[in-house]
Amino acid sequence: MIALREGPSAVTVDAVMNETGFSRGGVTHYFPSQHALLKEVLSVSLRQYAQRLGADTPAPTEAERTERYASATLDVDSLDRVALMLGLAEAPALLDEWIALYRQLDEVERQSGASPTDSFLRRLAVDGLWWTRMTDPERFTPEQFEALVEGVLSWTPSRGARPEGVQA
Amino acid sequence: MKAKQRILDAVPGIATSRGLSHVTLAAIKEESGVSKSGILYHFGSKVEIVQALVDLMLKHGSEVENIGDDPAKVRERDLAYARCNFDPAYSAIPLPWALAMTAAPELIEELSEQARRIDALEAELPESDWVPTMLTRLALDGLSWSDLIDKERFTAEERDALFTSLVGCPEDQVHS
Repeated sequence: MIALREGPSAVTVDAVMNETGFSRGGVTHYFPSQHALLKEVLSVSLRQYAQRLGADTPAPTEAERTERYASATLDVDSLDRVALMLGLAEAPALLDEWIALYRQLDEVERQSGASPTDSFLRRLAVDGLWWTRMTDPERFTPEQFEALVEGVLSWTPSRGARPEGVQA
Repeated sequence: MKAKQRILDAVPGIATSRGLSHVTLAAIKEESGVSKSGILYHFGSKVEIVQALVDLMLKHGSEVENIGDDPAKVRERDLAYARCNFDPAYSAIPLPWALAMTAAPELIEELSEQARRIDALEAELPESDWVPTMLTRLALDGLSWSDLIDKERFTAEERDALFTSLVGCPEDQVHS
């Protein structure tokens, strides 16, 4: 995808047309400007991501919700979240639906009865893994990445279950 | 306030309101009130402005490195990593990374190399400690990207709970 290969600023109307095989007439008929195209891309991507997350039908347990979040976010075959990077680069004002989605997910955790801190942190760690893969893909080996994905589901940072320091 | 500082201070606001690709000299002139020739006097080009923010991040990163790799000091390193991420000067850690990605990709290598060295400090930890340590770092990264997208997402109490769980103190004590 263009954005991954050359960075978000390379997504111009021309580049999208080359990639999708539309004629100039075809794309500009539907999208009079790059801004309009971007808006549609962000909106469609958001709906797709929300659907994969099952955002409108949250799972009954926090564990299931976190697992769904992790698999939807870290699925290598899905590029819908890349739209977030496009939005940050080009038009943060168009990210309102994405912002609303995250707030919707947060609210489910707040309403769940238990303290939401651990569930917030697990999802933030999943996000951190996603951003790392986008900005610095060599940071972790596949085995390390796997260990981190597995580890996040049972991570309970608010309980202070952290090493005080390994005894030498 | 000195012109140079006003120029740098203008950058986070432009990035979050107009987008990372739109941190232009014209936008900086508008937001900082410094003239174009003033901007060029202090920073020969946009890349040099990005370099200044990258240098600030590298400076914080070297504070993590200076703690060394003693496994007993892992929590000290977590706190220093948090300082790296949440410096008010650039509002959120990804800003230098994100700006470098859009404006000056050659600067990414400096940041990546330091990030590697910082990760390597934890290499001796057993897996049962390495995983929660790296998850702490990743959650800090995730939070700073989240701040770039939606600064108001969590309440102040929630943020304090997040920071206390991660690094042992609320956010306003991270830099004190």
